[in-house]
Amino acid sequence: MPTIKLPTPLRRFTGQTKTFDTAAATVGEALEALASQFPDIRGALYTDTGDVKSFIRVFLGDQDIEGLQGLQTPLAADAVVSIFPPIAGA
Amino acid sequence: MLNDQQRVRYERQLLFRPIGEAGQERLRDGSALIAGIGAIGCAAAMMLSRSGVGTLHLVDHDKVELSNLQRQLLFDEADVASGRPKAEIAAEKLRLGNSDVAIVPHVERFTDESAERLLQGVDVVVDAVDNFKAKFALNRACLAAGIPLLYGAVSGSFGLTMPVIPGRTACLCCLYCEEPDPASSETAATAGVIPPVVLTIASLQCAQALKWLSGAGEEMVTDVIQVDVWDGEFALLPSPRRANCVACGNM
Repeated sequence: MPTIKLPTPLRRFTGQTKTFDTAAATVGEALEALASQFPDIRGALYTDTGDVKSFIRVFLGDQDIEGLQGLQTPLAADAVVSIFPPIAGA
Repeated sequence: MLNDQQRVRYERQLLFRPIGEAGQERLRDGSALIAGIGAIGCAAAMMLSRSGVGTLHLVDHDKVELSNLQRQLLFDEADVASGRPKAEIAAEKLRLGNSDVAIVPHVERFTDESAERLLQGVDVVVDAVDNFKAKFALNRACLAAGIPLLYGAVSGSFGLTMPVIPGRTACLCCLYCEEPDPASSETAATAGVIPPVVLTIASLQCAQALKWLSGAGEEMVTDVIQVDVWDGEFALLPSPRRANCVACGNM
């Protein structure tokens, strides 16, 4: 089953959950499933109009989905999706 | 040439083949600017000054607070009580560790207006500011001046770093498309931060700075380096340049 890995900055929205397994068929569906399971993360990932925020980077394995098929990128059963949010702390 | 005292002081670094005496001379003749003397800035300043980078510019407008002491390793309780600027205190303490280098404090913010003046004579910039407005100002200024910028940021136990080498690698606008609004960006104030990730990211930035300054810029890691010290994870993620990037697409 595809897995989304959550970096520590986003875990405050998921009750400190590190990974999220989903039966989603695409990256976009996986993100939507994550936001449905953990509604608090929706504001961090999506704009008010429902688009993924432009500065959220999403990787399938070590490949940026922008270089694949974006949110339509299909997920294999063993796919690992990583999200990294913009961080500015110093 | 290095003098006798410098050969003793930097002996262990001279033995490190990728630097050697020729690289150490270049470090001595080099200049770095550290923007922000918070947690990353303190660690970077300690490493670069002790490594013998000839001139270090420290830019920070702020004063030391009690909540800084958990991770800002150059400061102590007396500095909180003194109410003095971080940049000046840091400069004094760094000189105790290495009087062989010039430490120049600048008690001000790094902004679009101050950028050109602050970057004069600087060879590399370490990003240690804690907000995207300042990080994007650094990105613009370094691209305009043709100076490498070493982006670094931490949140919780997670950190990112990436070099911005004008005309060669992705810049912050390539990475994030646009300047994230403050409500969307994670900082130490929102997710907390632990010292090990600060030192890890600062170390990676400094290794890149030493490469650039010692003449090994071609060996710099150009991917985004992502670290989580709590989970023990370390990943290199490619971050290609965007041809239509508003900041660097024309370079």
